Amino acid sequence: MGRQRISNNHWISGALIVILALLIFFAPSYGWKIRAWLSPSPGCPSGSSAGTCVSPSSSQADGQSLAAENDALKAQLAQLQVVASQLPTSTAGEVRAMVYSRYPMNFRNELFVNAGANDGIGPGAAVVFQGMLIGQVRAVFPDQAVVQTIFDDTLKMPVRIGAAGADGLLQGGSYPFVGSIANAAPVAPGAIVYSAAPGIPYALPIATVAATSTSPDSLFQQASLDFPYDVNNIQTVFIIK
Amino acid sequence: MRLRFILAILILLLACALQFWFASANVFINFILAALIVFALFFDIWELLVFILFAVFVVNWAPVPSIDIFVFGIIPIAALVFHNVSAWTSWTAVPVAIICGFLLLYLAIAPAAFLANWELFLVDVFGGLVFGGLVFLTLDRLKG
Repeated sequence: MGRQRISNNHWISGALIVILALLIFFAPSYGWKIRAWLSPSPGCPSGSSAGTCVSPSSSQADGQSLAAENDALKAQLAQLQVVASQLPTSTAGEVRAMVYSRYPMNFRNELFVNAGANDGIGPGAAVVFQGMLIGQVRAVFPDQAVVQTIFDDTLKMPVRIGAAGADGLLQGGSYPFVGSIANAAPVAPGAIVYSAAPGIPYALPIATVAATSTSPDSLFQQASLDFPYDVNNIQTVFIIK
Repeated sequence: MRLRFILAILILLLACALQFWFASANVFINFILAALIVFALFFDIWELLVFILFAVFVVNWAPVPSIDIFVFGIIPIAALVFHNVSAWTSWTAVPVAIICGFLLLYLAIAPAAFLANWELFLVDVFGGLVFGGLVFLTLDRLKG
């Protein structure tokens, strides 16, 4: 009896393994939906339940089902408006893409978007959010692409700073900074940092200078950066073809 | 047995939710990997594969699993092999397995980042140890 039960359990486990393997390779989007359901919604107040943006106190207010449903609908509308506010009108040469998911561990900072080779996207394409350069396309699939953001440790990109166009090298990471700035270069807090890399449109804004300091070897200046957005809240991007 | 399996699925879902919630605040702790490593001490290879594939299904963020996800899935299996070979069943196996598993993950996927950002690794391991310990206590009580 015990052996029979173990055999039955193995059959069930085997069936689940096959089903999950098929889902992983042929229907990964269902996994992304589960992940989206488990993740907090961007722009929701803390304490909100995942995926609904409804605070516990408002859903219990009045104790009437219609009032609660009204509050839930208002919250969902607010959530959609957050996304809509990130959808500027498209221009020629740009492809709008939604962010499917993010790299789940802390080794990389990458986004997975729903535009790919079939949309004219190629590796190295610039990716912008509300006019700001946030990264480059690293890998392309037929209908999706992987975007390496400037918060990725391995990203390095030539940039220029301010009206004088001081040259620097943007170093990606949790706290991106611009290094290799000549000591004599006039760099001040508030100056705009913009792209100057091959393959990317020139002068795409990236960030502003927060503060300047001397590099550890005292040979260069370096600048810490301020960003007007939270990369974790990005839901839509534009990819420049 | 079945109750323990269902409980493990719920624990895995909780680990997924915790990992994604912390990630949204830019704090990356591998709760899912910690749970899978602890599961290796309680379940056989078939059940462990179900948990691993479910975790990969949820965590996988691209249309095709990458080498990172492959390494992520192999580590709990390595923990199971070690558990079977060493027959080390005491609670001390949990922290050792989690620390070794996390170390293997970092060294295999991003050794340069690991060497440059020790503090991220320590935060990750600490969170994994706390969560893994709680998972172990829960499953061990059910086994008793």
